[in-house]
Amino acid sequence: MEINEKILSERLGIPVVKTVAIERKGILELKEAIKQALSREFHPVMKIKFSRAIEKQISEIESLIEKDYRMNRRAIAILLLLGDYDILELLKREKNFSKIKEKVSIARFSVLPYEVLREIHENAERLLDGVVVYRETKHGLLKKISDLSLNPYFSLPLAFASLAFVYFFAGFLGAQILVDVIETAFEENINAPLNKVLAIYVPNYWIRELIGGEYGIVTLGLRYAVAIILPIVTTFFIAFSLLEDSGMLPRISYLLDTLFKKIGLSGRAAIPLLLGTGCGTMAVVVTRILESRRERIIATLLLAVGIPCSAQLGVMIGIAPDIKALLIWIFIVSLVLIATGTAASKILPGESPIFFMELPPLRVPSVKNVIYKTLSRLEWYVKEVMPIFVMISVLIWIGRITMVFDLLIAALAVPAKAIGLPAEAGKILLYGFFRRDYGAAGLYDLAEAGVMSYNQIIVAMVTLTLFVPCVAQFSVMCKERGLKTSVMIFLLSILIAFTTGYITYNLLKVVG
Amino acid sequence: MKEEIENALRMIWMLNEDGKDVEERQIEEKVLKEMIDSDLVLLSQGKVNLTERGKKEAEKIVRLHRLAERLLTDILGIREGVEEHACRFEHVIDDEAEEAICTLLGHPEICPHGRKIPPGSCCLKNEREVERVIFRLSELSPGDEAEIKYIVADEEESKILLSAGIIPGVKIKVLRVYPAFVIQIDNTQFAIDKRLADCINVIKKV
Repeated sequence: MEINEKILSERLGIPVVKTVAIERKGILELKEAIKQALSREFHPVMKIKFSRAIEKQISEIESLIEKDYRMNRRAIAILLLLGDYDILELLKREKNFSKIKEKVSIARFSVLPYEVLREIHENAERLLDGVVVYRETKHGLLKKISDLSLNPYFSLPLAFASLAFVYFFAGFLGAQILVDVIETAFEENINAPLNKVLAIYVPNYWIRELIGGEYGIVTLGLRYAVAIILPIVTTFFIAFSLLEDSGMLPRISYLLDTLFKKIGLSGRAAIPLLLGTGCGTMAVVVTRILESRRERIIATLLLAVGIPCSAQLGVMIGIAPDIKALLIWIFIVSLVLIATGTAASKILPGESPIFFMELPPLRVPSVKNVIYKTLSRLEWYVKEVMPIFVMISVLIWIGRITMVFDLLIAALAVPAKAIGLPAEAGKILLYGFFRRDYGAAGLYDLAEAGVMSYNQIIVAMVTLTLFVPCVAQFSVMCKERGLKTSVMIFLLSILIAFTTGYITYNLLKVVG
Repeated sequence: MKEEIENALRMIWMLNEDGKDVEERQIEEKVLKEMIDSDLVLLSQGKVNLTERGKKEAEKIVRLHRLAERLLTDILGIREGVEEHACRFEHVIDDEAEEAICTLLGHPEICPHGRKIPPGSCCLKNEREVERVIFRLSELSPGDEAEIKYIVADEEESKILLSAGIIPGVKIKVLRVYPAFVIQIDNTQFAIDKRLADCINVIKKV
């Protein structure tokens, strides 16, 4: 494709700069042009011309608008005719608001929104006539793979391969190798010296515990955020950005749409759910890409109930006694997720979701893009999630001083015993809410000590996965979905966790 | 039946469709009398109500009017004065022509203004004897090329389609129909589900 920007610039009456955003071509020139443009005045010559019938409607609506907006009145009138009713909100303070509303609803009977859009397209085509020259592109290997990738027989293995890659990268390289190195370094170079200093200079036990000790702001909060989660989410974000930049994500969505419809979601939900296996907290934020509130609630619910985050996944794989146990765990958790989604889609009012997605061509991911995307996600993580970890340490500190924790642990020990776990599991569950890996690590100790049997470990794995989301995810849920919905989901996941745990315990007892 | 009576029947039916009552004074005295005499309407407490027979007749006229609108906009591509044409059209289409038009259009359910077209006997039989011209996108096969003729969608669906530029007049190519529909418009590919594919009515290119 070739663009003659000189003709275009003349026709529009404003400067035109050629750019290729993904390759960062022309960005500097664009900045320069904007800088120059600020000091000059322009007289745009190009105006979109509509047919008589549409122009009549536009001028009628335009004449009813009295106030000034950042957009000109004609543009507002055109948007209204296009059926953009969000723009009506903007006009709420207008004296003629009710008249405008009426006029717009009547206008639909003589001018359909698509007719307006079609005329805009016709204008654009007129404008671009002779400006853009298309050339046949070569049908390279990527194009062939791109076409093939729409075929499920080809794309399913491709999707699995991409997921396997994500897990190798984040689950193995990040969660195991990097965490090991960084955490050891953190313990040795920060925790140990800090505790020594505290022991010498701070006589008060509780103040020492606030900063250091086992649950302090530095020794737990920062260590958790920097040494455990950061390497995992960094590697996950790199892998996810590669997937995103290659154009695989929309194809995975397209593949899964039919399946997802059964649990009240559209294929689009594959993106937050997949991201949830990295960091559930970020995934809740990403549910914004879903079209309807109903879909967003279902996705948030599934993320809270049973999509294990990368921290959890890593430890679960670590403590599973063998492959069989791991498969049982995967099977039960998937079953619960499907059942929860199916039930939610039946209970929640509203229509089934619509799936719509542009499929960009597959391409080789650009290193620059991947770095940029990863960095911007990490920036979000550092700003939004890190402070929560510091807060968690303070909460644990308060909980321990006030003995509230002892009460909660005692309370959780009751259902824990009911599903055949040792009483210590109560503590694991409570701390699991604050730091997901702690619960699992505690489990590991119990298993090592020989306190728990093979069956008990599976029950504990299932229950801990289905148990409440971590505190960071919960606070983001409250922000995105509101307190009421989040508390409901929270309570529901406790119920689901223990019920499933109970059933698993009894089933395993029967099967042996 | 006289045109005035047909028009009055259509007006009463459409007001009823919007849940509004029709007052005696809204209809010309002479026409009203004739309608009562031919057992099309009943008067009660100053309100005009359609009889069973009147309802049937009115439904037929509304149906013809809206079918005519579809025919004029979708097939003949007339953009201006559709309303007046349709008004004249509704009085001249006979039963046979009605069925043929309806089948030709693929038994449409909604007029270009988004109002329901009362179904005729041919729709109930879902006849496909006259060779169909209009297809839903969801009925096409991979490789088919077509031109979008009209879209029957609710507000949410229209918004999505409109914002993607999937509108009447656009030429599409169907790439896949499973697990979801993939269509190509110019150089852009879109994946859509059956619900959206059902909204899009096209004429197949041969």
